[in-house]
Amino acid sequence: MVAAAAASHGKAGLLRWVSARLRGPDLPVLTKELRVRMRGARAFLIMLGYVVTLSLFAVGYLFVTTAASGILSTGAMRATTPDVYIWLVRRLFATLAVAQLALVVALAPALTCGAITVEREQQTLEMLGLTLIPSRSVVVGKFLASLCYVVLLLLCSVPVFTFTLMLGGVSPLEILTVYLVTFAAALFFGAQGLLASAIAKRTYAATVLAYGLTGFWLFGFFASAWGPAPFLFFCAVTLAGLATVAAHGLVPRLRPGARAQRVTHIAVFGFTFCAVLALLNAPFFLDSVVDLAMETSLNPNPYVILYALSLGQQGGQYAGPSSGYSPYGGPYGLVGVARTAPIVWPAVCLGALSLLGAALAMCAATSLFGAARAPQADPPEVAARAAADLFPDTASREDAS
Amino acid sequence: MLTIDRLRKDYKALTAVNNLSFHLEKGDVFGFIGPNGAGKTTTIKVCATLLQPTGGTVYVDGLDVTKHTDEVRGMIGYMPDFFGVYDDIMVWEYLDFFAAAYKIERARRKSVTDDVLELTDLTSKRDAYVEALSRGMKQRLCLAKTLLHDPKVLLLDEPASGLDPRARIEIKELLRELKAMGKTILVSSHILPELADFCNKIGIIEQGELVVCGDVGEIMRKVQGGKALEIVLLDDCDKAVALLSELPNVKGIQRNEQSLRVEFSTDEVDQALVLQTLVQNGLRVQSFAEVQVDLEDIFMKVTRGVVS
Repeated sequence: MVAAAAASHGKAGLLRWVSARLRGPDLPVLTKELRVRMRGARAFLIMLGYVVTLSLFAVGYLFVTTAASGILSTGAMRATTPDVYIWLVRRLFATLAVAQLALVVALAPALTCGAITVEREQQTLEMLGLTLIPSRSVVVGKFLASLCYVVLLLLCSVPVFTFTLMLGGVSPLEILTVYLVTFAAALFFGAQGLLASAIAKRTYAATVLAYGLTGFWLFGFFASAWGPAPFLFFCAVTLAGLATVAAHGLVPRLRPGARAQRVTHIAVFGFTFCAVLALLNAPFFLDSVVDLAMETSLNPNPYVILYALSLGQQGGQYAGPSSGYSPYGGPYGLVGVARTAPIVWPAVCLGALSLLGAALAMCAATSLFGAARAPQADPPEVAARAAADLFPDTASREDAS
Repeated sequence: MLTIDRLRKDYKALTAVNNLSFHLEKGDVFGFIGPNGAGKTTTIKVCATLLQPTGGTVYVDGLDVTKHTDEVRGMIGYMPDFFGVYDDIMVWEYLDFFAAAYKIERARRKSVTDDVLELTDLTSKRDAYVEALSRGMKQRLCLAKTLLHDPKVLLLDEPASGLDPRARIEIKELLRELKAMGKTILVSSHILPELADFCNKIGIIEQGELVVCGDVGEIMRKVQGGKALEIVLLDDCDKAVALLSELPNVKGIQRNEQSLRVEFSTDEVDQALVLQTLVQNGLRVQSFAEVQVDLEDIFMKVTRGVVS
């Protein structure tokens, strides 16, 4: 078939034939954003800043540890045991991973929180809203465009990470896993930014809200690792939120208009995710209260694992420079796979969880955007006054009864 | 094609539009005139499915705009009075984006965008950046965008405001072309001469109420209610005033230095008699002309004093 197409259309025809089959669903917003995003110097300056920050971090880290312990300086290097060397490289790797994660968590909401508010501010929202494009397509298009840019940033940092691969002690699988965790963070926190953009009317308000949400969710992710008190606090917030939502849904008096309904939508999405997160963290909370004899190194939160690794602990527990067996023949050897942190499966779970959270946030954003482009009804008080004016008989009858 | 039935729209402090009704047939060009803040934009926004009416209904091609929002959106082309453009985007990309957003298939997009560029005379600007266009070009681009999905009804809110005379004339030419294409057009303006030449119907709105509405010629006749002559004399105006006020059907005479404006109560005026009277009495007439009553006069007459 391909050959037939090639024969009938020549080379250009074949290209067109293939590209027509490769094209997915029509996402005009994504196409537009992708065309526009890389114009001008800004996108490239951010990329440069991103890589420079990460590299400085890596070099600075090496420099500081070397100065502190002297182990990586040329002379001392030979005297260092393989264990210490590997421990150091792994620390470097984990520190880079945490730094990249922090950068992405800080950048992802910033990239999306203007998505809808900027349209409002530059007076293009009306015209976009009046087209026949589905709200879902707008929200997904904006989101994917930002995500593409984050992926580009992540690709830029690959050389920095291969540096640790070259030093030895880190497996390619671990690097891949770290990228998965970072991508999941971009997915989740980017979606929060988009949600904030759909809720707020102005970009500055959306920015504040986006970082507020980010802080809240980070707290949620870390709650069980920090101990019982934060976890219980997080659970309390979740329960209170769910109760409020339930009350809104069940008591009709509490929802006078479409606006309240929209608020309910967002809250349902948000607090459902809160509940999922709380449930996932629950076993580790229980473990910390009544000893379930679970290994702390099995904490399923990749954020916690990476953070612990960067502090020189293995899988949440301090392993120390000389613990365990090392498969390395020498300090400079690039041998096989080193000890792997138990991070792959937690990372996959985190990916799934982030996908769920992002999907929920996008549903909320879609419903909000849909409401914003629908014909705007009068505020309740205006409608009531007008009704009294238009149908004075009915109004007075109601007053009398 | 467009029917507005007892439309009312309230805002917090005021009723912006009250009991407004009119009907447009296919091919009508309706000039919607009124001072700033009279309720033009509100009315247009209700027609464009941006606002829900407080009372009354608007039908586009028989469909209620609040109930069949999506169908109506496919049929109307709305050009707002204030609008922004995206940064860093080229003219063809801008149009391509909106063409895709209006669900025009990929295969047709290029020809459709080329057509509207041709129509709005922007073909040479195809690869220019949108934000670099002049105001008049942006206005035309917005109109081009409005035409992409071949709407039956065009709602144009102040399409020529803030433009220099040349750009104004270009927009007018464009509207005339659209009229020839058989579109139903509602175009608003607070300046009358803008609309005078190509509208077949006008509506004058003031403080949310339609003061006058109907066929342009009919309204002119109704409001005018008689002819007026402008006479410029070289000498002795007092004598002329005395002579003219003796003539039949003279309603009033306004004097401004050497020129006189004589208003009559009927359309049938014996202009020859007027001139004869003046000349026979030895008055030297420098110019003698019928005053052209245009939309502006109508507007001034109809809206006199209601809006401060």
